[in-house]
Amino acid sequence: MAESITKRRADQDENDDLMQLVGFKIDREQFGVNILMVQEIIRSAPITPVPNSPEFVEGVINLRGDILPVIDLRKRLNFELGDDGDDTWILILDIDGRVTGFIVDLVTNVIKIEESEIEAAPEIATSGLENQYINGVVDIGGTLMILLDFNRILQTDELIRLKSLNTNQ
Amino acid sequence: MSDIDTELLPDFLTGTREHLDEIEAMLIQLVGNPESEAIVHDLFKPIHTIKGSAQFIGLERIASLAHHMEELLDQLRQRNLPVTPTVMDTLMDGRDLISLLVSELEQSQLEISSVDDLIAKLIAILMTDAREDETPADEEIDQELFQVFLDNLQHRVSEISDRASKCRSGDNPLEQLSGCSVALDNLISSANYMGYTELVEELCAWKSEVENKSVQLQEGNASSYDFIDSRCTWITGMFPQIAQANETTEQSTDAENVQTGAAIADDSDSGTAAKDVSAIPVDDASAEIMAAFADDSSADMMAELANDGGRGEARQESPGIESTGDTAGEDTSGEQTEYDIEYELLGDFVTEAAEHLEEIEALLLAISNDMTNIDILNDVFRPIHTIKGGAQFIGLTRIATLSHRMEDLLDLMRRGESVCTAEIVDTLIDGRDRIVALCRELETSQREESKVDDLVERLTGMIDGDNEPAASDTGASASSGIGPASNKQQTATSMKLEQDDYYEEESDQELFGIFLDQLRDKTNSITEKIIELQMASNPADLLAQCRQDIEELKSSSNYMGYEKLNDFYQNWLQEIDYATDAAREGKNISIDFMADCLEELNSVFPQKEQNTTGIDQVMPDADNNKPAEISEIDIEVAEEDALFDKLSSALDDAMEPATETDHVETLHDVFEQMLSGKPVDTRGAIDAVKKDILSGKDLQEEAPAEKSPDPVLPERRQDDRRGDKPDRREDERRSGERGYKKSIRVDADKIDALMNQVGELVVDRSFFFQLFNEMRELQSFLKESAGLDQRNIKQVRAFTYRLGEAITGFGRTTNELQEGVMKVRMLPISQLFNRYPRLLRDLTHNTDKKVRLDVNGEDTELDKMVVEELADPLIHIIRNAVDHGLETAQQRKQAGKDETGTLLLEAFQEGNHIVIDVTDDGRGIDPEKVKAKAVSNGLYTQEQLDQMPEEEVIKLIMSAGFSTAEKITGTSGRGVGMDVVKTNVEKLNGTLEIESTLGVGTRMRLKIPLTLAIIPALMIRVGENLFTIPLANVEETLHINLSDTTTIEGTEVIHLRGQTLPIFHLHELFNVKSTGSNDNKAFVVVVNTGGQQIGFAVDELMGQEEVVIKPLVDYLQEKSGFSGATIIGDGRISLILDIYALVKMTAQRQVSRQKQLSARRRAVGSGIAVESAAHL
Repeated sequence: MAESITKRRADQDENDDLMQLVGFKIDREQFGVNILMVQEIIRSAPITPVPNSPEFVEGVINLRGDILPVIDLRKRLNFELGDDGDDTWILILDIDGRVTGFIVDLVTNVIKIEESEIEAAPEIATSGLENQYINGVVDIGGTLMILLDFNRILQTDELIRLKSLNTNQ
Repeated sequence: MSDIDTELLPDFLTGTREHLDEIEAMLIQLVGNPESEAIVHDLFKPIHTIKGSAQFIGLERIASLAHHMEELLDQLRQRNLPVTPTVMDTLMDGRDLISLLVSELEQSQLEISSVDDLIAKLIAILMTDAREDETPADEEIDQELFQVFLDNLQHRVSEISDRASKCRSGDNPLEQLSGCSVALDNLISSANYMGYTELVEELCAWKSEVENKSVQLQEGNASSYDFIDSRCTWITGMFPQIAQANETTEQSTDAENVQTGAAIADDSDSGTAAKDVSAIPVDDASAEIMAAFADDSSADMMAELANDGGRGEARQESPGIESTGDTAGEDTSGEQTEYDIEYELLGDFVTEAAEHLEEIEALLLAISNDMTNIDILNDVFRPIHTIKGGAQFIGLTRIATLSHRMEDLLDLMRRGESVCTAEIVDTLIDGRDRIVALCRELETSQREESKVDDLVERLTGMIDGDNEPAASDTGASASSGIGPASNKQQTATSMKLEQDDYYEEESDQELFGIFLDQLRDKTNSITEKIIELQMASNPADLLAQCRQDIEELKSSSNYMGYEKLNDFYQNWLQEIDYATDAAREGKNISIDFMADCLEELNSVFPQKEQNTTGIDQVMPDADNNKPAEISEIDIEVAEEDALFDKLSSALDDAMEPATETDHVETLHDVFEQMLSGKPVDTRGAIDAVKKDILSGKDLQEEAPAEKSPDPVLPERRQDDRRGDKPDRREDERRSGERGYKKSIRVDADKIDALMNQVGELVVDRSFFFQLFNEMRELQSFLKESAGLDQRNIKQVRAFTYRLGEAITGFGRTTNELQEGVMKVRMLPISQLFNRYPRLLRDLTHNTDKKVRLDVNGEDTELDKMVVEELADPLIHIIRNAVDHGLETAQQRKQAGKDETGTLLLEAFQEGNHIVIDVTDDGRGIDPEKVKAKAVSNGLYTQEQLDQMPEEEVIKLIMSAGFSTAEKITGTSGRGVGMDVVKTNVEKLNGTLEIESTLGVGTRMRLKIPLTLAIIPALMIRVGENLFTIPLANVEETLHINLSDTTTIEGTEVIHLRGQTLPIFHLHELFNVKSTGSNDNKAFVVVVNTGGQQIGFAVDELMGQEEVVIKPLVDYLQEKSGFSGATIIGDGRISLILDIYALVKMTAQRQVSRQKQLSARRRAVGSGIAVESAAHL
């Protein structure tokens, strides 16, 4: 019965349950973000640093006349600082109207998943990643893809708190 | 309430806000100038508009409140009530309440606040002078009778309420009650006499209540007499409403208002009021009474015309529909909406009309300011006429009728027949508004819904009141003429085709009938007067009477759209005017022209449309051919004369009800013949009639025609020339009028987006310039290094040149575009200044201060955003000026100043800045008191202060911590909120200066950049970073030797012109690497933030540029020292320094440094500490 309902629903609207994710990597971790949030993906752009800003704010970029903040996800998510190198990518995401760039190591591929495949994040945080930034995980061929909660990541009060910590230092 | 039209709501709210601002401004003006009729008058319009649109949308409370305010204003306007503070306050409260309701609507789409209290208050004011209130403005009502009735009513009601109070005090209640009953009887009979059936019923009910009460009393039941009072209030509350019934938009609404009014009166009168006056009967009663009034009034001819005009057109659209034949007092508007409107053309009409209406409004307002200006009157004429024409064409009877009446009224004024009064202008404005409403209805429902009868009546009242004392007579004749005409509907329709050939618009027979009716009436009357004139000793008076007759004729011909005829009348009128003038001067005048004209009228009328060249030619013809071709003309004239006479007689007979039908038939026959231009063999038949009617008059009428009165001739020529002049002037004005401003409402976001795009373009422009420079470099490289030969390099050079041309052109266009878009965002500062009269009023209200507000330069424009940002700082400044700066009247007197203080708000442009001065002539700031405060606050020591120049001391009041501390109100005066002012102004990259002379006054000067979006800025470099400093903040730039600096308390300073200037290194503040300099020199940018000067050491000055400010995300903008960013020519980003925030940061640094310093001092030796601090 439940099956038939699921099936019927699937028949009615196949796309309903389907979700496309843009995969990217930081360190060795695999992440994914809903493709609908991705405005564009650019290879390195000249980043103007903003003095006195939170550490993870890399600076601002000029994207065809719009000045967008760029956040280093590696720093934001407290990964160990790797070699930044030149071959980073910037994911431009539209997070509820706040267009922000995120520096990631590598943008991998676009995958399709069923929404039902998304599972709650495991209790044990992955690679020291704080649970609060994780929306869920998807199992992709044996590896775990983490879906980030970018709203949380952008949460301003935290950013400001972090910044004030920063300036007090 | 649930029926609020939410779609229209936003528009309504925006519009209403504007109107409310307007109202506020005017109310304040009115306080200062309570005698001004013009203001009261101007007030009317916005309130009326609010009322109208509120009703339209379904906002009952606003509508009802506005309605009552309007009524109160009406009383003010009619001088029935003096403009007292109470009245003003109530009106102001009303405005505020509407404003509140508007806010509520914005938030919740509901009217939440109750308006009842205020309405009760308004009604109370209205009733304080009930007697005058009840004087109806309506001419149609038998005034005398009504006045008697009202007096009686008043008298009785007060008697009754007296008795009621006596009852209460136990003063022989039985006797009092029977007295009441007698009084009521009296009232009932007079109401009965007036024919107010519903009122009679109510009064009877009241009487029986009173009788019941006395029965109860006899039985020994003590009871309340409150019902009597509530009844009294109800009655008095009802009558002022009725008086205005004819003026209000919808009777139903009015009835509601009456209901509300009465109900509230109940409430306010006695808390325990027995609610035996149920709302519904009241409603009915008032409606009934209104209807009764309408019946009573001798329907005025023009109203009839208008009504029938409407109906007639309906028939024109659908001739098959049988008329009911009954016209008098009947409300036909309801049915009129059913006819076919030309829907396709409707859209065009509405759009066009909207433009015209806007124009009309502006012109009408201009008139209200300058009532004597005939030019404007002429201007108003045109758009109204156009609307009328369009409406008639499409079949919009109501608009046509209304605009027609407006046109008539204007025409009277234009001719000088009627003096333009505030009331007239007001009515015209109301008329305009009604047309606006109708247009809106047409847009939404394709139907004319609002009624126009009330306004048409009002207009007609004005036209007749000024012009035609015998209006009711004419009205009577008209109404009796209508009946038969409509009875003969079929005859009329059958004739219609033929007439259509000549008169396109007037195919409505009924209307035409009336027109002829009047024509006959008036020509007869004129003929009589001409006879009298010949022997009269006082020709001027008679001429004046003739003039009125002709005027009447003219308006009806105008209504019919017979322009040539109209012109003819106009000329005639002019002649009369000249003759009258001559007569007044005691000269002998020839009145031959009168007869002449009458003759012409007869001749012109049938051939009017055939003679395509118009009356202008007809007139000289009439003059010229008399001696020469007298015989021919004579025959023609005579023939037509005969026709006309037949017509006259027919119409005369038509007045007799028994035979009217036949005569109308005759009439139409005659007219048909006349119109077809055929010679009609009616002479013989008519001769007899003619003799009967005109007896000897026709001889006199014809005689002058044959004589050809020469003296008139040159005079007429002269007239024509004179007549030309205004036309030319009109043309000139029209060309000026093309510049008439039309505006559209645009979403602010759209403009911002546009602005952003233009900003991009500005950036692109610099990019192109850069490319051009690169190209030039390339060119020289190619020439020198690549070794291109002359021919090849020529091509390159040609290309470079063309590129340069293109870029210059591009740059120019970009500049213009940028300016243009910036101008779009510009608003006059009056938007800001207009808010302050109210503030001032509130501040001085109930105080012993008198302040006059002078405003200068309110046309100065500045960026919309700036305007909004400035509102609060200015409030602070003004509040300070009034609270602390200006003395009380008493104090001022003692100081030898004018009792009334002056506050001057002034704005002007100075380069890229707008300067706003707030100057008061108050007591000024006492530097000693400021010093004392500064010392007690611990900001400075007495010694420091003693060394400070006075201006510096005064600036202290702006320093943070100074003002925000305790109130210094009591001691020194200024100070509260000055920090807020400073902060806000600096946020806008502006500056604030204070000048004050003790005992003389204070001036606060705000300097604000013109726009926030694009600013001139100084580009600087620190290490690899480019920063931008708004030029507004930059005082000067220095190139200093770093060895010249000294360190005072951990802060680096240099001595600049005898003062110390603290220096901060930007690379330290921003924690970036400095490239430094080899020669130990540094560039210093000296910035000014409202009194405090600070130098920022930078690596390099890059030059000045216009930059487009782009916002940063909030978490980068807050407390970072940056107010935004800009994109420079090569696409790089430069952060814009927020100087104010930076100075704050430096201050914090200074404090923490000082702390560290003292801590270290204690710990180690002082010498080391200073050094280490310097490295922080």
